[in-house]
Amino acid sequence: MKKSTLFPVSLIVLVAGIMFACADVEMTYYPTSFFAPEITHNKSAYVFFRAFYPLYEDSYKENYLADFKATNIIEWENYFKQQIKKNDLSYILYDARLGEIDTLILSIKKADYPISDELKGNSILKAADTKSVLDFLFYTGFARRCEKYAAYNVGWWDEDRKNDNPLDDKEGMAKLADGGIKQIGNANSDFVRQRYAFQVLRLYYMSGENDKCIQFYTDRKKIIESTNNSIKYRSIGYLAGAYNRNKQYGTANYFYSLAYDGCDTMKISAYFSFHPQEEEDWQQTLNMAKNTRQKAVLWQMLGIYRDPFRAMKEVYALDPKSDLLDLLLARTINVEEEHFLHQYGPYGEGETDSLDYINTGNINKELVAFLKTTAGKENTAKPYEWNLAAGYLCWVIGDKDFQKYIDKAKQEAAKDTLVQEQIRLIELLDLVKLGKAGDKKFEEKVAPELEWLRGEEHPREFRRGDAYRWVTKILETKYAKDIVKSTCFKHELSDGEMHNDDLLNTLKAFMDKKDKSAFETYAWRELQYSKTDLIEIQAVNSIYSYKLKNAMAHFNEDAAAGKEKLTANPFMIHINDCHDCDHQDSEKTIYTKKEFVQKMIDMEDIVQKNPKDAQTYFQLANGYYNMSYFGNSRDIYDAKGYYIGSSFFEFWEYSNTSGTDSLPVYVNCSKALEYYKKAIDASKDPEFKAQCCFMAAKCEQNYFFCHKPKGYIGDFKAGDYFAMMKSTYSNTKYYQEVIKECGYFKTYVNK
Amino acid sequence: MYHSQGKYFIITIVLLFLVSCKHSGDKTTLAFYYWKSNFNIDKTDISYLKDAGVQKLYLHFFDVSWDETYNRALPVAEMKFEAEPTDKFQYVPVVYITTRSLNNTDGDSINKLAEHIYDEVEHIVTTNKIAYKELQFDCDWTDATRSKYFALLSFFRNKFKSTGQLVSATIRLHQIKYADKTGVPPVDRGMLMFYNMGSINSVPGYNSIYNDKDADKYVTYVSAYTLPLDVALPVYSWAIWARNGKVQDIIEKALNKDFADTAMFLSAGNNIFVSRGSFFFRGKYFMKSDTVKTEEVTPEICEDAATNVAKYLKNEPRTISLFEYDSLYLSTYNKKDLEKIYTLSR
Repeated sequence: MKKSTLFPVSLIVLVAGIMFACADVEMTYYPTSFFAPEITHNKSAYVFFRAFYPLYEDSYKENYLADFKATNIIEWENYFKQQIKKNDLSYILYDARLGEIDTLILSIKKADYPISDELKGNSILKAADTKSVLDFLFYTGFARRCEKYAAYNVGWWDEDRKNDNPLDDKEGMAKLADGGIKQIGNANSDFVRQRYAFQVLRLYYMSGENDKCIQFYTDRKKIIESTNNSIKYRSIGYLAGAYNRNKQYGTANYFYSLAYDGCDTMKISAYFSFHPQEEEDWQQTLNMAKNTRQKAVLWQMLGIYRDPFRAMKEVYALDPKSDLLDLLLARTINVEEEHFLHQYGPYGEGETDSLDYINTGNINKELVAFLKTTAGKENTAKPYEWNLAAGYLCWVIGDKDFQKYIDKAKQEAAKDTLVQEQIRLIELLDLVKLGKAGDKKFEEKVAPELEWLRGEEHPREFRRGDAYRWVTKILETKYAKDIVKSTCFKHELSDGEMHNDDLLNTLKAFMDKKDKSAFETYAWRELQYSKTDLIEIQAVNSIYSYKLKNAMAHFNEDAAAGKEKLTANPFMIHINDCHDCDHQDSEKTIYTKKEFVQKMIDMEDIVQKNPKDAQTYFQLANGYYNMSYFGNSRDIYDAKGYYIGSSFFEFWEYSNTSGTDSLPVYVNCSKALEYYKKAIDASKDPEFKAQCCFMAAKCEQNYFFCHKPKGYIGDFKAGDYFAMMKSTYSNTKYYQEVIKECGYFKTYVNK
Repeated sequence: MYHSQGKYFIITIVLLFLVSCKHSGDKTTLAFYYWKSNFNIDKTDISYLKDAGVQKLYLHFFDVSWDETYNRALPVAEMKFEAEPTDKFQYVPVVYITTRSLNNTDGDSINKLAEHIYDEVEHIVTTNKIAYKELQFDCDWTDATRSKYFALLSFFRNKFKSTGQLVSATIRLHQIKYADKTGVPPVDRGMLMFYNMGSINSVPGYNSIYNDKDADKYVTYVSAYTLPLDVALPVYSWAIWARNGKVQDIIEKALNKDFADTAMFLSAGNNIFVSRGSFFFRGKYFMKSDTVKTEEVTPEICEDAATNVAKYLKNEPRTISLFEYDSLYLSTYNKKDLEKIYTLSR
């Protein structure tokens, strides 16, 4: 039952996973690679370069009709020696109703035959060679009658299922085929005869008469192959299809290979139809090849299909100058890369580990030897490709000959930008691989090359992304003891590093360094933080550890720091927190982060001098409350890499599977609670005290939310301050307001 | 008068006998899944099946899959009838529904899809003169597709209220164990697929189709399942093809003897074969040192499965169906083997 679907499903998941993982870094449609197959410049082969999907760049091809249509129109244009407009031909071939085609025929035969103005304007009526025109029109009429059989999709359900499947109408198809055969005799050119033969052949195929289809092709071979055009190869495609249905796979694959090599519009569909089943039928296919070219084509198809290295060796043995070789070479290298370069796992796992090594143990030594020998012989059509490939793999395995091959390729393709970039990349990879951390000579040499790689000025096909990641990872590892540079090459700071004040200061000092070397400048730019970013991180760290004066000192280091305006008044509180209301309040007092800190410092000074100032305690408490996750000014926490998401709790609960993860500083309301308490103690006004008491209760409630047992479901449990509200402030107006607005409290009171 | 009273008397005796009978064995219907794309049963097949006491065949009518080009759910792999279905068996049409087709179908369009499926089933049964008392759906539903799938099943249950036909659904083991999460489909009966529960790997000695260890993780939950259950047991074999230990594909319907050609494979024992070079085999391209592990379900393994699941089944009438019918397995499973499997699973 599910057996039949088990595999397709898991493969889809795998491919989707790979694409997803890459989305994180840089979207590519091919596995990890440093080697651009486009160095072959073999455009007709691009579609078969190695990719995640069966086809390169295009992923899948589902609809071939547009290609067939375009080629067909061109062939008819040639038939009429470009005398008929393309649109007119297209209209007759694909849009005109049968009645309109008849009208055209009749008006050619009889000048005064009634005809619409639109049809009259068709340039086909102005052609001098009416014999050819009539042949064309009769044929098009015939083709239109075949359409319902040829273009029927089997396996549909439809509202009007009662409609008979035209393919069940064997009699109608046989009749039409007989008519087509008659028309072959009536037509005036091989061009049109061939097309009738194609229609007949296809009718036999569509009606499931495979033997008849094969017999017809054999009998009419001469006419079907009379013109070397798309119709010839589409006919060969149906012939192959008939053999395939007869389970004569060896023969079928041979004919598919003829269509694949003979006709660009058939190339992809013929390739996708090529499916050797058993070794015996594959050997039979090879034996059917009539010449070296045909044999080499078969091997190329096998190379794309399954085994590029074996195919490359076979084609090379047949014809070292074959134009079929370079696709196989490029594919072999790209497939080999999957064995020695780190590939991302389906869900992005392994993104950070093992990027820093090349798994030389997995390289096919026979391949390297073959490339070296072949490159050495210089007897292929494009020797530079072989020197480049040999040089690349020699570099990978640490073969001392690598530079020799690379230098040769450099000379042989001196004017080829992409090849030169490819060479420069391999040389950079080598430089990085051999370089020693802190070696000034190395740093001087590598810096401009790194700048070049990081730059955007490369040909589109150049494979920069994976190489850039690899280089950076290697440098990070090599410079592990140089805390500044290794951090730079890592691009981002971990949570621990963001709280490491010494590291942040060291990085800032490095940024300030006046006489940075080119290598240092490169490293510095790799770090994704500016000095202001680092200062703001330090300031935020200080704010949330309540060291406000420290925070201010940090802000003062840089005029640009702490200048961002907060979205709400950080001293505003309500019975029910309403962040959106506070953000939208048009009359709010606006503070920057720095101004907020200054005001907090000022107020701390006031209560220091006058510990009885209840109002100031209250304002301070509001500030501390609002800068927490629960308050209206979470943006106080914003810095590069710091951000409080609104669904923090969902994520935290989800990820905290062990139940032991520590909570971030910003959920802590203890400082606010401490100050609300001081405000209560310092005041004599019951209304004001009630307000402070309720805010204290909120702090208590937030603590409960953060520390409730894992999996706890149900209301929060009331603490000291709900009890105090009820016992001490039930006579206040504020108490009544709370009862109205706060469901929790109301429930508590009514218990 | 007397005569007719006597008839009632006999019926009562029979009923009493049935009620008092501790075992429901007599009410077990024996069946096979016929999962090929062509229905082509000849005399040999019929006599084999009849001999073994098979009364019912489950036929894979078609898959409902999502067509990217036309952006709609369409039937594919529709069964072609090359032989006339004999009236010696009952038939249960089975429709496999891909989760992708459900994912892509709007909730609002489920009834429309169900009508299409109904029409398609009716079209096939009418054309081939098949009467059916039960229609089965096979779908490995997910959280995202559950509500749509269940709506589709409800459509058929409503549709069949007047005709008395039954709707059944295949149930996978994880759906039994996690029934509170996956939900129980709104159908008359479930068909527990008691096989294919392990992981597909190239580890020697491990059989992913059936092994007691994997089965034990799930089987105890069977007795608590709320739907009346039929059971499907495995009688198929396949081979797992791997390169450098990485699974490449499954070779369907493969037995040890298929890898006996020593020019191609060397036997490494323990159902493992190693390829000797590069070649095509069953449409797959082998390279040197690729491995093949056959996973055969021998009568003994199937008997294990039957014995294991029987412990957790309620004592009630049910169908025991074997997956799948193929002449390939006939020589392995003789009449006695089948009888034993059926007896054990009661």
